[in-house]
Amino acid sequence: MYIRTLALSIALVTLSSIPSYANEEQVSVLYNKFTTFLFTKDIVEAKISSADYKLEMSGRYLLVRARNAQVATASLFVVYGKEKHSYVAALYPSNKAPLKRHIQESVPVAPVAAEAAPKHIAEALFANSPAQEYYSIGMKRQGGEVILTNILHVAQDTYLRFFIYNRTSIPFTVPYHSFENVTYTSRVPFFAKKKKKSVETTYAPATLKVAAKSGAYFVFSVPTYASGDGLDVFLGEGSGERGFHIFVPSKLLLHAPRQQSTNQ
Amino acid sequence: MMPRSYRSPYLLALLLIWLVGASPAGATPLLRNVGGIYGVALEGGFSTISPLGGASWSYALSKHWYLQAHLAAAYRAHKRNPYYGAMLQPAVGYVLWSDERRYFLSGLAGMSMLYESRKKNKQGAFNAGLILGAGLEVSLIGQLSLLISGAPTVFFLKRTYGQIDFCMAAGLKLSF
Repeated sequence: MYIRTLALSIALVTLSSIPSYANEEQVSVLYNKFTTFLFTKDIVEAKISSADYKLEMSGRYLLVRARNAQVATASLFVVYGKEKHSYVAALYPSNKAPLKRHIQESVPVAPVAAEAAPKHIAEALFANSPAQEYYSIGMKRQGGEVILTNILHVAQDTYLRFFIYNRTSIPFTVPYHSFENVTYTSRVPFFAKKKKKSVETTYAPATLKVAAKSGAYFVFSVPTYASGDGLDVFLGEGSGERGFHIFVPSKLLLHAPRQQSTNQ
Repeated sequence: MMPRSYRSPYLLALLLIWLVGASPAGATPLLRNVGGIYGVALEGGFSTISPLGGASWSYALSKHWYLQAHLAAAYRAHKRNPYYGAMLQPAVGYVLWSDERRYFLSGLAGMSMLYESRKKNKQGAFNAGLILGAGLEVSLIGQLSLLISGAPTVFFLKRTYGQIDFCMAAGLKLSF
C-alpha cells in the first residue's frame, strides 16, 4: 500500500513539475479574405511580428489576412483608445475564421500594474513565449528583483525580456543600462581576467520606471553576437545607489529560441 | 470504491499542489538560487546506523556559492539498547551545474558535529568530522523544490560504529 502511495506521489510530483505556460489568446484569421477586428476605441498603433500577414487599419477597424494557409503563427499587438489599452494575440491562418471579430476592453499585458513606457513591437514579440523561461539569471537586492525571463533571437538582434519587481514602497527608476560582451582570458580563481566589449542597444524602453510594490516586464535588444563567455548587463537606479549586474551565459544565448520571420 | 491510498490526505495535498502549480497563467516571475535567496528545508533520510530527520537553512551568496546549516536528529529503536544522535553540519555549497530552470546540482563541503549515545553506555560522546557531499535540487512549484543529497563523513575521533559514515536524505525546500 505504501509503495503504491509513494509511486502515485512521485507521479503527481513529476506532473506538477511540468512547466505551465501563459494562456495567450489564439486567434484564427482568414487567408482568402480579410478578417476584420472591431475595437471599442480608435486604434493608435498596430503591429504584426511576421511579414506573412497583411495588415490594414482605419479608425476602430483592423483588417488582417494571412498570405496563405501554411504561414507560421505570429504575434499581433494593438494599442487603442486614449488610455492606450493594449491587445495581444497569437494569429494563425484558418479558412474557418470568422469574417468579423469584436474585441472587448483589454486587460493589462503585465501581470502586475506598473508605470511602463508605451508598448512596442519588441514587447509583443514575446506574446507567444512562456511567461518565464529562465529562473536563475537575475539578482535580488534591497527590495528589488531583476529577472531575465526570456531570450529571443529575431533577425540580427537578440531580444532580452526582464521582469523587474519593486518590493519597496518607493518607485524604482532605472535610467542607466549597459550591455557588454564578455570573454574570459584567464579563469584562475582570484586572478580571472576578462575582455569586455561594449554593446549598443538596438531597442531599449524610453523610460524604465516601476511603481512601488509592483513589477513589470521590460524588453531590450542588442545585436546578436557569440561572445566567448556571455553578456554582462547592468541596470542602475536613478534616484538611489542600487545597481543590478546580471551575467547571461553564452550557452543560454546560443541556444535561445529564434523567431524566423519578422516585419521589423 | 477507491483504494485507500487514493483517499489519504497526503495524496490530496499533493493533488492540490499539482493543480495549483499547473494552473497559474500569468504568475509573477521568480528567481531560484541566485544571490540573496534564503531557503529552509525539512529532510528525512538515513545514515549507516539509523534513520534521521532534520531541517536545514541556506543562504545563496551568489549564483554558485551558498552557505548551509543542517540540524538533524537520529534515532534507532532497539528493545534494550536504542541509539540517539544529534548533529549539526555547517557547510559551503557550490552549484556545479544547472539548466537555469529547475535542476541544480551542487557539491557540498563542511563540518559535522555529532553527539551520540546508547542507553547501555548511558554517557554520550561528542565527535566531529568532515563532510563532502553532493545534492540535487529539483524545483517543483514556484519556490518549492525537492532536495536529494548524500554525503560521506569522516570523523576525527574513534567511534564504535567506525570513523566513516554515510548519510542520504531527501526533503522539501522552500526558498524566499
